[in-house]
Amino acid sequence: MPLFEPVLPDSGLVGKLERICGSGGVSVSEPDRIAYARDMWPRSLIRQRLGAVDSPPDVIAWPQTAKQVAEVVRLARKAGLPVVPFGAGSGVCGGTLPLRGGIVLDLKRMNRILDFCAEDRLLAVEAGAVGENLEREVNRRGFTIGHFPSSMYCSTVGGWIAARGAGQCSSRYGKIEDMVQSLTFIDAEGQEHTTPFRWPGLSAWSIDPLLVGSEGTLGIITSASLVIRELSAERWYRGFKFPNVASGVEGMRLIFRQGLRPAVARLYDEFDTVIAKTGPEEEDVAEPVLSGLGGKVAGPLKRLATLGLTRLLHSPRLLNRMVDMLPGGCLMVVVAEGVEEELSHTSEAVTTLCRSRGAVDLGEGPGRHWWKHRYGISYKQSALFAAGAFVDTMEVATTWDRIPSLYKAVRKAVSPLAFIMAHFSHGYREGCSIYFTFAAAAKDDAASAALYDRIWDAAQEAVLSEGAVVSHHHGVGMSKQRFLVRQLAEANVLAQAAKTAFDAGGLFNPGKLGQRGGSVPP
Amino acid sequence: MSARRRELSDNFWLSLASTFGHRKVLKDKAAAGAIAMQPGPLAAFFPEDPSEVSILLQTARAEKAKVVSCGACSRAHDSIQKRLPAEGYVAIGLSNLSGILEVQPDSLWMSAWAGTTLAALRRTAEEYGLQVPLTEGATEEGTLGGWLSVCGNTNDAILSTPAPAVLSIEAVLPTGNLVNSVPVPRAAVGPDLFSMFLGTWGGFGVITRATLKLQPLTERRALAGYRFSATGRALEVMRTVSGRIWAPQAARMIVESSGGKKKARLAMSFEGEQGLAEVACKYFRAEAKSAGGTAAGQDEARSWLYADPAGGQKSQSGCIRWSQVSGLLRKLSGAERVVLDGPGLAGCRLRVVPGDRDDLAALLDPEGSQRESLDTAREFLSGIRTQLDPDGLVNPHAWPLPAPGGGL
Repeated sequence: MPLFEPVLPDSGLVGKLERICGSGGVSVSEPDRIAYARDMWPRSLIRQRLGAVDSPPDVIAWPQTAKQVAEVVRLARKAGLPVVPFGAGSGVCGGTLPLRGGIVLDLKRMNRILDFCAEDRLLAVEAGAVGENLEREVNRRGFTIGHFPSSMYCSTVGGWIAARGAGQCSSRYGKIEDMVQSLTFIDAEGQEHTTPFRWPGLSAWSIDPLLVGSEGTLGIITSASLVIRELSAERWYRGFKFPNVASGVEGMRLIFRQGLRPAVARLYDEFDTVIAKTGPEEEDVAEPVLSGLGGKVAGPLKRLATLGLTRLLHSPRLLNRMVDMLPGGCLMVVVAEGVEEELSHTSEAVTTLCRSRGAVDLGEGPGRHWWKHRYGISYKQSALFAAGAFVDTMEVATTWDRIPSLYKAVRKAVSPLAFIMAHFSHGYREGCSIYFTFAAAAKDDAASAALYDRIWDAAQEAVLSEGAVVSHHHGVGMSKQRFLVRQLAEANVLAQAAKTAFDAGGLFNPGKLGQRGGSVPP
Repeated sequence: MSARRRELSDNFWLSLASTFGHRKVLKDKAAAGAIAMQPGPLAAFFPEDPSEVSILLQTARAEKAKVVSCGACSRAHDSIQKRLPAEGYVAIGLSNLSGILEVQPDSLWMSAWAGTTLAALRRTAEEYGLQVPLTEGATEEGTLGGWLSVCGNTNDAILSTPAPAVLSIEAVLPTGNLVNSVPVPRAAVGPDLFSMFLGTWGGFGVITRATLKLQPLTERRALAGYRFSATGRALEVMRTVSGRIWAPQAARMIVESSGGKKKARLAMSFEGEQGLAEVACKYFRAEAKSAGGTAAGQDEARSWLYADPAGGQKSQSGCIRWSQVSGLLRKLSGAERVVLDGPGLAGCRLRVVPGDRDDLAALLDPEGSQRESLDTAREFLSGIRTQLDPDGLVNPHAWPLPAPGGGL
């Protein structure tokens, strides 16, 4: 006896979907429906621990072509069923939760390279291509995509675009919106469209900026044309230890102000630095450390858990105070790549600038170590979840002048509720992102869900009051949409107009990005 | 036969006068005298803050009167004048909404009202040792709002890709809503809704304020030029350098026929701090030499880069992928001169002199796929406009949107 039955308005719908996607391309099985009821949003994981399956899809389809996607959309439209596009499920914000059931369209079977032109540095690829597989294939041809999210092994091109994601080397290669040259998508009437090619330096209105970041609410992105770059023959790795966060942020600002473009410049605050290992000599200590939660911090937090510190998470104030008493020093990891002339100039200039702000050159160990473990364990569950606690990350951004106060405000807001640490990354000439990590525990899972919400409320209130943006690269999903709605304020009128123009019937991913029905389950 | 100009109702005038007083609202001849556009406006209004823009748009909406916003109103391009509503319109002049609001030199941004002239922005930036990354076509007397409305993109020297020239925008929608984005270099907060204000001629509302990106004043500029007897080699140098090192501040390749053979001149200029310009230029020189280029003098190279490449003649332009250039040059055998500039990672801009070919668009887009894509994109944007401005009252001259690259 199934736990819950799919609600399909048309008993013949599964058969119709099978005729479109093939008999192995459709599922209404309970395990599949449970699996597709969540992504890697930590709140979903807490709910799952409670045994809750809040919003299972009614059916999952695996189309293999854009034409099949279009047919499924037309069928769904006729049947009045929502359609939620799905990549590899690595999103950490609940962006793919099928809040009103319907059809989840898993695009991973659409993973072909459609065109590759070395001369034009262009790659046209289907949306379901998984990052690591695609990068390897592009590398084989002497190029790189330049987009390396820590979810590289378990995220897709379509997901990167839908969430407006960033890779770890965004300082050199840009975010995904900088790479997209053109998109092909299926609209709410099941029609296929390709957006105009984006040309350099020209006045250029475009609908690409609307589709990139649309989180599946405006159309189903089926393929994209991306700019790619020649693979770098050389790479330069470095670690610098700054006296404190303030001097490190200043060093980072100066690097980008000068127009240098290291692929990676990441500054860890004091506790993140203590946890971070500083060179290959420590590699046998434990799991990779500078990695991400549910992802980003699973490594360090696993070590916390191993040390029996999970219990300390019940006293976050105490833990945060202990961290404040740690000896100072913040690690900055720098990785640069490019042609020999650029590399030589960048390495000298970065070293000079860091030293001018009191940094000690730690040699190449920390950089090499970080590079080796850069994808960490994004696809593994944190040990803290197993221990009954939870972790989450929040990546926000602002301009350099507001970075120090943003860092302090979020720490102050969250410290009473959760253990918190941060790193600064994704530098631009005008600002950067701060990547906060929270870890907390409560007496049971119901209390954990409530505490989780309080932490996010406190953190995002601080972000809003500091005038920073609520997300830099994870996207909005369920975790941030109530804050996005507040941040947009009167611009919600614009968002609504865009939604109506693209999808008046609310077919695509309903309840997201401020559309109605997006409440979080208790 | 010209369309009959409408009259604005007494209610409209009374409503505005009671809100703002007569001082701020000009009628008939006075309005025409203040706004240098033909046909002249039925009324002209010079708001002093965004809430006044909002009230005017709501009042005009109730009146079903068309509204056209303009920057300094010092001049209007022919392409705008031709599209102005024949039945008349209410003009919003932004010259009173002018001034620098804040400069953050460490964060490389400046916020200013939309009516601030580009000259004022430039002067203020220079006081801080900074510069405004204005693109081609930006004139001194133009305004920030006007420039963003017709262009708004800049070529990012770090990424070699186009990027918005602003960190944030404030605008008044046709509905009267005052909307703001958060000043930040990049974000992941759903669709970039504010991108709709860039390059769309005010078609989604009136920009009232913006936070503009700045750059450090150029410490050093390094440039070089080379002659090539084979265009293919020059092209490969331009393509290679544009994708592998910092983006050049300017780059231009001029292809001319001489004795039945095509020859090319290629010049590139780099700018930046702390030796960056020299490093990039050294890379260019090495590539050019190894491709068989013969070095030209600095003055010559400078003139290749910055003199009018059309020599006063009419030219036609378009954009082209690198892989298509050689084939197109063969088809353009009759052209006196072909100029390639504005290089990006995937292609560049192309200009043909003289510009009397009627087949250039077809040569650049032989299957018509780009034209079709543009039409589709226009339809979606037009759909958004319909939601915000069902009667098509605000800046109606923007619709249908002109092709990108067709800025003033």
